[in-house]
Amino acid sequence: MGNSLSFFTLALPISYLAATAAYSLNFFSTTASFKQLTRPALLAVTLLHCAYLLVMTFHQTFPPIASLHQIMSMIAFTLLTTYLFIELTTDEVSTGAFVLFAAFLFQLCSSAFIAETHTLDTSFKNPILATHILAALLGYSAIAVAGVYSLLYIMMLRQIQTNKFGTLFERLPNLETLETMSLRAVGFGFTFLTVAFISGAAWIPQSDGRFTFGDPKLIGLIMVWVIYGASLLLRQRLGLQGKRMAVTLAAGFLFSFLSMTAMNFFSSRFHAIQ
Amino acid sequence: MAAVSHNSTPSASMNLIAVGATHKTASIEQREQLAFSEDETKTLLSELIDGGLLSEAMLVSTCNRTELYAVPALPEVDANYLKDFLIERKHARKDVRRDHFFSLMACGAAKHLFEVVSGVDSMILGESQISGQVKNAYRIAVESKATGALLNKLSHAAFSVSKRVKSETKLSDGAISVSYAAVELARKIFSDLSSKQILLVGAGETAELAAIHLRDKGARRIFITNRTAERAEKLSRQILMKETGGVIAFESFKTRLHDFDIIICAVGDAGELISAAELDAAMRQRKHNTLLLLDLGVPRNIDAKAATLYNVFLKDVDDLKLIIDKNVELRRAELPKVQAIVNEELIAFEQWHNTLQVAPTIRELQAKFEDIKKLELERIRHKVSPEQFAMMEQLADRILGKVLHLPISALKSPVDTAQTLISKLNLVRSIFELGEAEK
Repeated sequence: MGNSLSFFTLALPISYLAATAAYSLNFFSTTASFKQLTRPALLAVTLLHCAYLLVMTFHQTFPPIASLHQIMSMIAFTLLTTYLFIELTTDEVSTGAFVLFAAFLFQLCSSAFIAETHTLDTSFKNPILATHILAALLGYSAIAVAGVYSLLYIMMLRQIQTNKFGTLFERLPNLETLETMSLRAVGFGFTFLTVAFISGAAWIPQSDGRFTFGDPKLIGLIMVWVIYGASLLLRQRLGLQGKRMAVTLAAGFLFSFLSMTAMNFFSSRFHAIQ
Repeated sequence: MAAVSHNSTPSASMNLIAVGATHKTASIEQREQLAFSEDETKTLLSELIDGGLLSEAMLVSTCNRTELYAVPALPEVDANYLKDFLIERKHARKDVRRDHFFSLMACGAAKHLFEVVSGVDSMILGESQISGQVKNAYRIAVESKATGALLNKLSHAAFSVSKRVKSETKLSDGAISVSYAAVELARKIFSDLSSKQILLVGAGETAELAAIHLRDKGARRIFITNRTAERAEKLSRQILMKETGGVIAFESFKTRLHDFDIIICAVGDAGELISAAELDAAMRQRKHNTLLLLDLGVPRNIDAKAATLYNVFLKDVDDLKLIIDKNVELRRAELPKVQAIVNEELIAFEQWHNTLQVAPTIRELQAKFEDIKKLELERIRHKVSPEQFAMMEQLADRILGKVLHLPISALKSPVDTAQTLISKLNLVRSIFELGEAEK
């Protein structure tokens, strides 16, 4: 197991870096042939990370979400998965560098600190709790990706409005596609946040009293869920298209990030990741 | 890699001349006088070839250039002779002189054709129409039986340059006309033009070009309105939008503004046609879905205040000019890549030409060694068994192959100048006593 772990510790950040490099070359270079590297690089890093998750799950008998370092690797994977979903459904590869770079940073941190992990919280063996955490990570990662696309939309919009036709104007997809990508990410994230919400509620009876309805993260989750649900369902009625939608999603991402960070300080030990 | 001489001094080996009048050497009036139709080109080529003046010829005649690529059959047929021939042929002596032409020889001529076909030499840098025009010129030359080994190879090498420039560089990317820039901007806002409702106000040249570019980029629902309904009908027929698009009466088009995702105004002398208030009302009706307004009219046709409306993009000619400037800059940045491709193909072409020059010497060299082998083998034929003889014959073939590989490779290797090639040929012929080379 030690050898496998050492291999993944090294191979995962390298493969994330390679995928980020392939997408960056495709974005910044004028050579068309770099585009051919992107999809294989993305699939390779996805397969490698899946293999790591399987090995770790088999080894510790539950998904690798029981320590901060495992969580960071899982965040890298959920960012990757969200991006893969968006790329496959829109067939647009020009924005991969922005998401994969963030995933690379998470995986790098995880690999750099993973050796320090010795003890794991075995309460994660409960499948409902594992589902809750995985779904929440996927949901928040998708919201983060939607935030990235919203920022790209705003930057692209600004270039068009001010007639500054720079590199972003040249290389980014059109505004409508960026809006579609951020909405896909929101839809993807909202689905998993719903799963996280339901599985979290289902786990309450098994939490041995460690969980209360006053948990700051639960409140944060409900608020984020409501905001994004309303954005999706009432989009047309509220006139949330174009810049307004992008600003809403970027603000939503900022709110999610800040609420998660702030509420970590007030959270019970149950929700605090070691 | 060998350097290639691109100057205009004649190569002793490559008997190729290019003369021509282009947008760089002659005015439009002069170029007009030198323009050849397809029939005139065929007649000219037949006359030059059948008259024994040239052994090969190809004439490229477009609105920006008339260029003759020629392989002279007589020593007196030089660049000036060909310039005079073209001038006399078109009865243009009054306005056109020799100095309105360029003239290039050998590799210089080949390089020029490569630059022409790649769009580097075009008035609009990177325009792609020229490659089709050169292909057409080659087709006419082939049909007139005016091409031979040299021009066939040169033309195919030129088409290879054109193909590589298109696939390996971005020389032809980006819009460099106002109407095309308008369509490119639309594609940076909307993902799929085929699902968008487009209104074209005006049916003049700019509107027509915009309509054609829109159609070429997948737009299917193009509606046209114009003061003169007949012109709108004509343009609608021209872009084949009878089923999914159509013509709207000029008097009533403002009542339907909310139906459209893109509105292009290109009416020359009408002034303001659409006010900000009208667009504000239209935006309310369309629930503030994105609207792109492209004002190609001078003076402008759309109230500039419309740019402040939510989810409205308003761009005029000056805005689009910025896109064009940017694209021209990007195309210029591709020039080193194009030059590298031109030089690579030029070296390959020159090497091919060199092999033509050395082929007779290689054949003589192989024949001489074959004779020596046969002579020596005959001497021992009766002293060994047939099996042994066969083995010795195989051995001799292998040794000869290896011995001849070195001088043949040296002959085929790239050279800097024609003089070097001649020196090399003379040296090999002298060492192996091959005698005088065939003319």
